[in-house]
Amino acid sequence: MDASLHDLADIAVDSALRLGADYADARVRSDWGHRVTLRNGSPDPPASFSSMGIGVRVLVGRSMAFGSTNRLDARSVEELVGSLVRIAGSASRIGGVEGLSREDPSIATWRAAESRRLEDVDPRELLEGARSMDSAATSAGAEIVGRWISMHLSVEEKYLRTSDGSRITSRVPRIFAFALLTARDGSRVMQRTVEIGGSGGWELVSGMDFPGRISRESKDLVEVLRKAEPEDLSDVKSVIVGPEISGIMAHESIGHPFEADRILGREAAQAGGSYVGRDGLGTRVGGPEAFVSDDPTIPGSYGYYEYDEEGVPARRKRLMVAGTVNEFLHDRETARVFGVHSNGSARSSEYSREPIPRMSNTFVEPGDRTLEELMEEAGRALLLESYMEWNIDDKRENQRYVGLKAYLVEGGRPGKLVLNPVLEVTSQRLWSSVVARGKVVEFSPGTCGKGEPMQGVPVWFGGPHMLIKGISLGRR
Amino acid sequence: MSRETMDRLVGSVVREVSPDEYVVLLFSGQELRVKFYDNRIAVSEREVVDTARLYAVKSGRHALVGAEDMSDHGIESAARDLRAAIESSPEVRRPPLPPPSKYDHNGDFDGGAVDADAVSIVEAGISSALSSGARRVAGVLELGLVDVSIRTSSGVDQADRRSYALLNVRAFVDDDASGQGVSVSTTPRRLDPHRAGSSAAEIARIASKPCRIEPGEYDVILAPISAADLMQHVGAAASAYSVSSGFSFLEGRLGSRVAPEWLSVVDHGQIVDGVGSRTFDDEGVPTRTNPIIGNGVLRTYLHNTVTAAEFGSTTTGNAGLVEPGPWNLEVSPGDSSPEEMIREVRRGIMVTSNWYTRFQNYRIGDYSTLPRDASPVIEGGEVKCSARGIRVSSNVPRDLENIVMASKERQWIKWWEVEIPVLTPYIMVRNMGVTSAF
Repeated sequence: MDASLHDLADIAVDSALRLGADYADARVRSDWGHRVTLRNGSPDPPASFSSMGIGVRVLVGRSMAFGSTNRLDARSVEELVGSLVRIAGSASRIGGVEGLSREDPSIATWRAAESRRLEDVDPRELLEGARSMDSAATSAGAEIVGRWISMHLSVEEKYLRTSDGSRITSRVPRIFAFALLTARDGSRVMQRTVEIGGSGGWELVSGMDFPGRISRESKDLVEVLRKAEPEDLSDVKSVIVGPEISGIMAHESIGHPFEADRILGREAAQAGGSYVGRDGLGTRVGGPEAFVSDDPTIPGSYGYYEYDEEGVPARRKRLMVAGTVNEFLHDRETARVFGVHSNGSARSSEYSREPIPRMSNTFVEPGDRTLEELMEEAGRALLLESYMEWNIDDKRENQRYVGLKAYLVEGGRPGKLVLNPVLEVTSQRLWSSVVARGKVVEFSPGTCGKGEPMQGVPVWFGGPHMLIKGISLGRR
Repeated sequence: MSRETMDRLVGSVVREVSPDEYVVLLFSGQELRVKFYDNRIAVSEREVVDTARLYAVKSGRHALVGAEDMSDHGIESAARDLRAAIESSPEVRRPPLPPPSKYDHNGDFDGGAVDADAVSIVEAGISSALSSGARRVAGVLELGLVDVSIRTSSGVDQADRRSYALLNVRAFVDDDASGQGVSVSTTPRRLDPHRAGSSAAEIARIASKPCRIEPGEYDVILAPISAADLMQHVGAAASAYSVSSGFSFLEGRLGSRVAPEWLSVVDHGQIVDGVGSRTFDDEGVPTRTNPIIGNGVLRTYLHNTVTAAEFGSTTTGNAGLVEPGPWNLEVSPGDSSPEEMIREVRRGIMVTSNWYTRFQNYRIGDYSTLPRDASPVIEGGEVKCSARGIRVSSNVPRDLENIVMASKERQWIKWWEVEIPVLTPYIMVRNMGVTSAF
């Protein structure tokens, strides 16, 4: 990013203060990306995108206004700031913002580690990467009849200035791959979505082993297609969920309901509320084996950052400790309401979106068991390694996961494959029923949606294998 | 501004790429948003953005670039990205870009949309909900203008202006009892914040009488917000790109009966109060009306020229330079009132709103979704209570076949969960699966 663009953020903040704002921040941000897509081996047109703009926030009394433009000249920015101060003023009669928490200003430059810049990657290499995944899928068996595969490179660069003294410059490159695989055997059709991603330079690709992962997933899909059968699960009361599922459980039923803006009702009309109340800190939602953290500082992670969108240093948050609500995800606005400091959870998806409390890399903390020990301990159980359909209600209580790769476990060993098992459970029941956790945490990438307009932000979710006892299963 | 920017975009693409064919699309948008909760405004937002899409073909290679930096430097950089992407692209066969045609502009447009008194509209929605029994009200108002222009190497040179006004209100009578109201128009003058607020509160009052129901199959009345969600998935599955990518439960069903004979689902390129309206598509083809489902039969997929060539068909004016898609969906009305539909239900529920629809299998259409707000439980034609903690688990093709009634009354829906604007009645679906985690 051209350093002269930093001046625009300074102009925006200074102009807002001059016009009477009590607080202002501005972020100049550029995003660049390149994507290739193969539909059953045939390429769609490769697509590049770039954006650059400024997002400005002003607080006037109890009234917050946010605005953005990609007309990057001083006059346009000053016009925007002027209009924001005016609309904040006109909304002041029903403005609902108490203010922002006081935080020490930060001056920093940070970037995700990268050896080879993504902008320097020949797009043909990206296409070759997608082709290697496509070949891996087709070689898994003639049953793989549909492959929709895409690879994305993106780079986010930002300069943040706040009126209380923070100045942060940052750069995060990211790599993401997506595959939707369709397998057919006669009239039976199954699908599997695979996502792989992280933050860093092109050197990440070799460690991610895209074709190896797609090959394994495709073979698993074919095996499930050929062998999985419906099973009466009415007497099965134990489940071992794999890292993909313990991770999505942590994200959906702990991460989201622990976002402080949801707890306050700020997302009530859109992404919903929370089963946790304002006075929920210290209450129990799980058992002694339930531990969930959110940590933006994991190197190479898809949700990586070192300072948040308000200049607050990022750190690990232990959301649930031994089943007890330990910490919420805060930005400075919610931190002020709760009378605490922000824990650096403010994120926005692009320059034109307001910062709000978000997750980064949310995970079930590891335990001390091997998978073999968990299966020994489980008795007759279901080992649920992957899923396709999932969802959860708007207060984050009633959730469901429909298994894809799922084995009946008997005598401490995985046996036959079970077709379409359904785990449908409340958050409290789920986290109260966790009895043991594996040693090894694995992560999956995702794009987490929230806010209005919708803001999709890159996240990891993960966990170890996790043994859950005393719950019921169903089937589709 | 737009024409001058378009000149610079086209000039840069021609100079940098020397393309055999090109399409340049330019979007200049302004939006005013007000987000509110707890009867107060959380944030007021203003967005001004220019976005371009550049597509070019050279020696059988093609590529697409999206750009938001309209400075000379930004445009030149985008054109260089386009050239680099084309050079790295494999050769493909694609039909030539279509020539200009006759364009009929539906003048459903309000140039003053972003100058409306947004705070007063929000206050009207909040106060109506409060006076109808709500204690807390949340929601968002979005007022916007977008200028769209297109220029292609085949001679298309067109511009279009559109406006929109969207209000979503969620009212709470207590922490667990909420209801939603939506108002959608191309102009804030036709928004009805009073009705959105009061209907949200009325639904919330129903939710304040909760009950549990046994899992099983129920007759389900989908109120417009939920019917729109179902139908937006039908519209998305009708995209020929979805079909060829394995994302569509409508694959292989062209010409087949997929719904009752009285039901039609039509896509309109332009329609009054259709906030997805456009005069031309992204290839410069005039938009038009396409019956996706006509009298119960799947009549067409939605095409651009590329998917049309793949399918041996013709474009339906629904480009997307890569993916064709619907503009505004209209579901045909029935001849009943919502009250008459309720009286027809012996054992069922009404879903007033839903969210988080996820597919187990896009090709087959198995999915589940979560009813939100009130879900009135109907026994013997009367509402008894509101089901709490339920999930609908079903299959879209089966749902379409099992639609048995629809209301005369229809409503435009577009909100956080329904991205494609849908004009829909209440619809009744027999034997939908209902489950619960509780």
